[in-house]
Amino acid sequence: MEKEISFEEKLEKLKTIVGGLESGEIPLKESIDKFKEGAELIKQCYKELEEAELKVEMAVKEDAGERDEE
Amino acid sequence: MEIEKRIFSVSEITFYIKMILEDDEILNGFYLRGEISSPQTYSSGNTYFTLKDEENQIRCILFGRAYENVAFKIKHGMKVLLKGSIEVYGPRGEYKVVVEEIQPDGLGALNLAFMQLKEKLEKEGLFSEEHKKPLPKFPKTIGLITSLDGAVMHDVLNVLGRRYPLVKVIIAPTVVQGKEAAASIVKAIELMNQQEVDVIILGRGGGSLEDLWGFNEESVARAIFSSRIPIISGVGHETDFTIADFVADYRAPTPSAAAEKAVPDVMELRKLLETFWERMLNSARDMIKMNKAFVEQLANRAVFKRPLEAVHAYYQKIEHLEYMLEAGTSQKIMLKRKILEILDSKINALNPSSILERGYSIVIKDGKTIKNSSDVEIDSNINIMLHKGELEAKVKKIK
Repeated sequence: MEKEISFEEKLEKLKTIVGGLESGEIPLKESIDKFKEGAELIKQCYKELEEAELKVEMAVKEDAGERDEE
Repeated sequence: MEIEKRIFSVSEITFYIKMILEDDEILNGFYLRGEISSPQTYSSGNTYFTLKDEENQIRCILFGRAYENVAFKIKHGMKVLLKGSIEVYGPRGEYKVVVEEIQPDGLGALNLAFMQLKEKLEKEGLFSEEHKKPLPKFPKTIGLITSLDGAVMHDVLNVLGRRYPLVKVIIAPTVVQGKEAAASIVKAIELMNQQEVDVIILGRGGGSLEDLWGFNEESVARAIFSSRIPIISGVGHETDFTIADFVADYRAPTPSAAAEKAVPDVMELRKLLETFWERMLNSARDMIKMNKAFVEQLANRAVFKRPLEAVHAYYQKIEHLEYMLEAGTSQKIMLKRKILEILDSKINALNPSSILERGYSIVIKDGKTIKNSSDVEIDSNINIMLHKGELEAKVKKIK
């Protein structure tokens, strides 16, 4: 489940977690969980950055259909 | 040398002139250079203007159909080069140039067409900021519209791979030069819009105005404008501006710069992650510190330090209450005493013996107090109660 969220969403989540922790309004027990979650997300992000490799593909042309329309 | 003096009609001489002029080899398809003066377009679509130089002028007509192929708008004062033929119009006794082709002189046809298209699209609002779509911060897929040959594709992929290898690139091989360029670019933009692409890079290396012309075509401008996906243009070098650049959601000076604009930088992301980690650590430290301080503060509280103190305080409170209670009670008793005294004196006042004391007497018959003379009869035995002592008496007379 964790793997499916995008890099951007992870950053967004991290932002919320960090903000929440900094607010000091989260109960101790919960903030320990949040801390763990944040640490895990950071680890995942680093890993994604390390392992990323540019994917390149050609656009699929729908030649036949398009020409018929024209 | 007898020349027969013949008398012509106006039509006859007009016809002769028309024949001479319109059959002349030079006057039938010549190039003419001059400055346009007071052009006027009629509802028929035909445009009339005067072409002049320093000394002379000639009337010209541009038929509507011919004007459709003209890439610019004819304006007063414009220097033009045109191709045309002389035509004589008898009913008005006029000759004029029928224009077949016309182009701006000196400035270069492309330049002027560029300027005029730019002016037109600008007026329509195609360049306005409000239509610029925001670029995604973290695109997942990038559409690259460019030629497969040439350095552009290589450069762009290089930048993307270095800065943000998380991204997927979809390339639409496109003709970016020559007559087919515009149609090819339009098609590529449409193709990209059918796919899941977050941002499009429209790229081409530098070149002359003619080389880049595809990017100055109206059809390309409109395709960029209607793209639902934001487009970053990176056409030519720093100084090359194309119409596509103006319509694009973001104009980058080069294809590589476009690639840089399209994605975030991994280095910055690492830094961002680092700051996130730092901030998390700091807030964790703060939290521990705060909780510790809280516990300490609690431990320092009087209740925990001198627990009996609170009890003492309660005792004192209770004592005080007791005192108050006592005081209150004695006050109440005093009050009651006072009331009793008052009551006593009032009761005294009502005591019949105290009335007798003042000299009054009470008459009693058969144990009942007599208040009315009719309550007794003559010879009734009555008792009279005095302050001191009692009398037995007999009623002698009733009044």
